[in-house]
Amino acid sequence: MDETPLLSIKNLRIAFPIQSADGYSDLFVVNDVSLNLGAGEILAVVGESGSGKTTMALATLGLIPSPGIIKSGKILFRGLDLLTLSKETTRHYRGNRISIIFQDPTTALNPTLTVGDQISEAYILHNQNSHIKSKELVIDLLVKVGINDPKRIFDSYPHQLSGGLRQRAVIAMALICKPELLIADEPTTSLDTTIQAQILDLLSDLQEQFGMSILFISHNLAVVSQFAHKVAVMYAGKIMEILPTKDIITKSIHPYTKGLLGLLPSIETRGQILPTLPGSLSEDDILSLGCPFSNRCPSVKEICHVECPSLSSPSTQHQFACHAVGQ
Amino acid sequence: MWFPIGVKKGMNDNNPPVVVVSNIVKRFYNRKPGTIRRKNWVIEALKGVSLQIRRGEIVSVVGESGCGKSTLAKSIALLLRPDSGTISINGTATNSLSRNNLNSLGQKIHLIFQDPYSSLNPRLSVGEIIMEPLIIQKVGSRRDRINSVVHALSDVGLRPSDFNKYPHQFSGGQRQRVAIARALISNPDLIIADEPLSALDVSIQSQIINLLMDLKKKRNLTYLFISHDLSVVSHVADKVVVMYKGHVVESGNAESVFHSPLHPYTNLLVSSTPELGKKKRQLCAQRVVNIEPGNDKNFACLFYNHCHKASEICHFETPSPNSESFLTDKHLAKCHFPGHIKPKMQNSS
Repeated sequence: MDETPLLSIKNLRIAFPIQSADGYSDLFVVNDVSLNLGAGEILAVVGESGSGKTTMALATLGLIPSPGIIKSGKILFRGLDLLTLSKETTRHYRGNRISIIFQDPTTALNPTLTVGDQISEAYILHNQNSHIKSKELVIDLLVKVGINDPKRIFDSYPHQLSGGLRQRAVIAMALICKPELLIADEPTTSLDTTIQAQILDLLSDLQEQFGMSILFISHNLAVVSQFAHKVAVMYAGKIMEILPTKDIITKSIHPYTKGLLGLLPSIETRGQILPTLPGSLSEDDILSLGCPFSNRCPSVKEICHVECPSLSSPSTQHQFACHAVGQ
Repeated sequence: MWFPIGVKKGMNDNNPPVVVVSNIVKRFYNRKPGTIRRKNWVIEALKGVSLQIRRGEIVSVVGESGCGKSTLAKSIALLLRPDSGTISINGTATNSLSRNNLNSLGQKIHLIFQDPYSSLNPRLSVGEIIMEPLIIQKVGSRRDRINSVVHALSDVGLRPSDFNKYPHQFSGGQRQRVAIARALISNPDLIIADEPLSALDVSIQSQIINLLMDLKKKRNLTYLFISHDLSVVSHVADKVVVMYKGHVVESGNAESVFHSPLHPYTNLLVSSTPELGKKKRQLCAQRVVNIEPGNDKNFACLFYNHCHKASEICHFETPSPNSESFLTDKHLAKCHFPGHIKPKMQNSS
């Protein structure tokens, strides 16, 4: 793997305005996030609702919904800061060099166009004079994404397809221009269990074939543990821990990560009371200058309420942000 | 120990079934617009389903979209009438009951829904929401009801002072606690929980699971727990019923079904469920590529197209046992080659 990361997010801060006693103040949905993703690597970002994982991913492609605003930070793609690009140039990157697939394939597809037309559209937009070649390429790709009768699917409308087939079509649409980076935002959450397993296998195979990097957003640690090389755990807009997936059970050290691992139900936990993380995330936690996890943390210390810990050892494989646990 | 209004002690004597569902069929029709009576096409959501739920049991129905589990839940909740077959609640057959009588029987069955946002009336306070079942059932005086609600609030981990708050003032997990309090307040014979955790964050799910299990233990409750999440089901359920395209394909106690699934579909479901630490490639042992809607109308076994054991007999002969055999506590599967049994080698295919 290359030394220079393909994607490097540096100190990214994204805020949404909220009403407070004296007008509007900033709620930092992404709060000083730094991440690196190498070429050919699969990095999973795991977090619950309010963690900021989706907003961070959308920022890469200039898709943050208003009134969200990027306050500071950089997103370097091969050394170029994506946040400084014009709208025109961003459009050139979107769908072409960096693609994204979303959770719901139904709303991602245009119901008035056939699947084939939509996938071709993505190709034609980024490649001039390509109407003639596009159908062949699309059908080829439909086979690669595991569709047995690509000609029929090419001419079908989204409503004629099942959820799994739609997600395969969306994946084809994302990959037609052979992007270097694929962002997948909860791509299997709305699918049935057996289809989810197939799609994850497919993404894994395609990653080996095409060699692209994947930024995989999920709330499900189990899914991610089978699929990604590295995991970043986010909470309330901050990165709590980053480590290789193979080490997640044995070497994770942050109280939030360990808490998440401990509370997963399974057949082994039958008859037992599940460990829990008490309480829930509140707006006060996000606004606090200390660690946002301090109100729920079993290892909390005085300093945690006052000062937010920064991410340790940026040059190593395992980083975490915590005052309470040793370096 | 404090008892909610209406409970009778000593109900766990013989452990008889609270619910007996016997071979129910439910069809939904589509009518061509413009015509009045002509039924264009039919979806048979339940193709002959049987199961029983004993008092104090947690029975979990699992299956993917289109299997009929929601239709089954609504039928047991007496919101839908089956086209054939019978449903008995506490020994009372429901087939010939009038709508009024069905409604009174239905008062003993309460529901918890998936979405804690749309299942609570935003215009009522939390106290009024929880009190509604008592008002409808005309139980106790107003003071008794308020007392019950206050106790119910603490039972689910909320505070008495939350009585006058409105749903929008609570988080998703807290709203689900309100929904649970509402479902329990009149001590129903059966609680049907339809994906009660799916809309909640993982760290809240474990809190709610603990709450449901604690309440079940303390008050000997009976749950029909519908979920697509097998990890949750394996933790919570006493008995598991696996559904596929309107049929029950396997049923038995949870440990048995998860450790030794008999039906190839159950095996596929269990192996597809992501598990922390499980190596990816182990899953592929029997995964069949591309489970997409096939033309299965002509096959006796609906899983034929996707089954690695599919043989000629599966094409022509409906697998045994029949529907009513599932009215048992035994571990059964509707398959010609359940468990380790393999089809004999055939010359063709």
